[in-house]
Amino acid sequence: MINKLRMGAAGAVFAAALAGTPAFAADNADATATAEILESIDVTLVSGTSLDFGAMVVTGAGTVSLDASTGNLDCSDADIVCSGATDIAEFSVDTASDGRTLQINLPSSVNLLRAGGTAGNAADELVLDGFNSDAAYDAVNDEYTLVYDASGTNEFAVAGDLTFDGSEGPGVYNGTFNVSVEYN
Amino acid sequence: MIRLAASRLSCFLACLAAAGTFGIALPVSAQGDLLVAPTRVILDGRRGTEVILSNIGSEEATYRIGIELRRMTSEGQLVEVSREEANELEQAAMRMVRYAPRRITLPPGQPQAVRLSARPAVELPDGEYRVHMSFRAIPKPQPVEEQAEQAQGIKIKLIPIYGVTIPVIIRHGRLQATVALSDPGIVTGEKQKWFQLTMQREGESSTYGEIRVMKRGNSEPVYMVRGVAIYPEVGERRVTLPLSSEQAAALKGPVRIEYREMPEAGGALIAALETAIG
Repeated sequence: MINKLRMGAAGAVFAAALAGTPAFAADNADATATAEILESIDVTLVSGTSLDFGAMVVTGAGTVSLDASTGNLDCSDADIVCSGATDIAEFSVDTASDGRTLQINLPSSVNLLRAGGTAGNAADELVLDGFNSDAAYDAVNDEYTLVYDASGTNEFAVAGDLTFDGSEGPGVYNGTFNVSVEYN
Repeated sequence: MIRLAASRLSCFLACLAAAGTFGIALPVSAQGDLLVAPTRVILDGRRGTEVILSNIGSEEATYRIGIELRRMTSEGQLVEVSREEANELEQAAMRMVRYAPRRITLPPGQPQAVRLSARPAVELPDGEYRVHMSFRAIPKPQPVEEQAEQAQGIKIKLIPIYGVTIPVIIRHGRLQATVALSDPGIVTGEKQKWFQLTMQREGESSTYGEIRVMKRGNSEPVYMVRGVAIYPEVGERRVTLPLSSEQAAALKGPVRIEYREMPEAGGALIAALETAIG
């Protein structure tokens, strides 16, 4: 009988699996064990962070931009007044393999819908695009890359731009956005 | 030699759950945080395997597991391919992969195995087939009172759906591949420097490994990245990797560049190039 021991590389995963033989069948038998390291990855949203543009009063078309690298809000369009605290979403990646390259995928654009509003109605919808990150950015290929550094923090921030056409009514606009860490 | 006495399933999951209690220190976590292992799956068609998904967040979370298609570009980026755009090879890959469950609700600290197998059709041509398995939390519906929050102006409530995508590779038949390296260099981007290298691949399968750059005559790498793949849909990949200014300085001069299999796969040399980086 061959027993197999599988261990998670980040220390958070540890699994033992017995091959083939029914439970307890080898109660007093010796068995050969092989160890297999499973590389793991975990992705967490850094506690207390979120993509938050604060509050805005909009009287005409314009754009509000959040920069993931600096956290700065650009609210310079004349028809938009911004107030309140802003924040950027930060994600933490942990894997066991120093030097591991990871691709970070951000959406190109998402639609936000006003609470109580109707999808497809321009006054109830808002576009969030211009997603950006402080991860290493290859502008030629429009690609964000994170090279895992075992001695580093391995976090990346995500922010974006809100584009108003000026018709949006007051209210809370809700939406989701996908962020994925892609292994190759 | 060790002695183990436990059922396969009970020990598998019990050990996983126990491990979560002495694992690495994690940041205080949110709904949807997740751990996935392993990060790459190769199926040879004879038997299945398992991928472990664990809820490392502080709240119960529901995760959706899906299979998606990606195509590598000549710059090494994996771009999404819709099912409508899928070519024959990609459609065959989607058809042959079986996995379950597809949706899992897990309390904090709880892992579960996702079973995965491939059933190649009898007449399937030899080749390498691939899908990418995604693991993402499904956000909880927002409480009504938050939805109805009064606002004088416009407020935004955004929920990130974040996750991990790993390749699932099915190798059918006897496949080979060779790689040649060329044109290494350092380019200066807007914010940082980049290491570039061209990889030319021939054969039916992908290759996967680490790139190591050593000063000539020295076996210790001055720069190393892991997990660099070149998939069968591309014959040539231009690798672009971020460099710190210290790394960029260390790379200059006569070097030996090696592309090796990952250490856990034996670490065999796939390709090497002796050159000088200016």
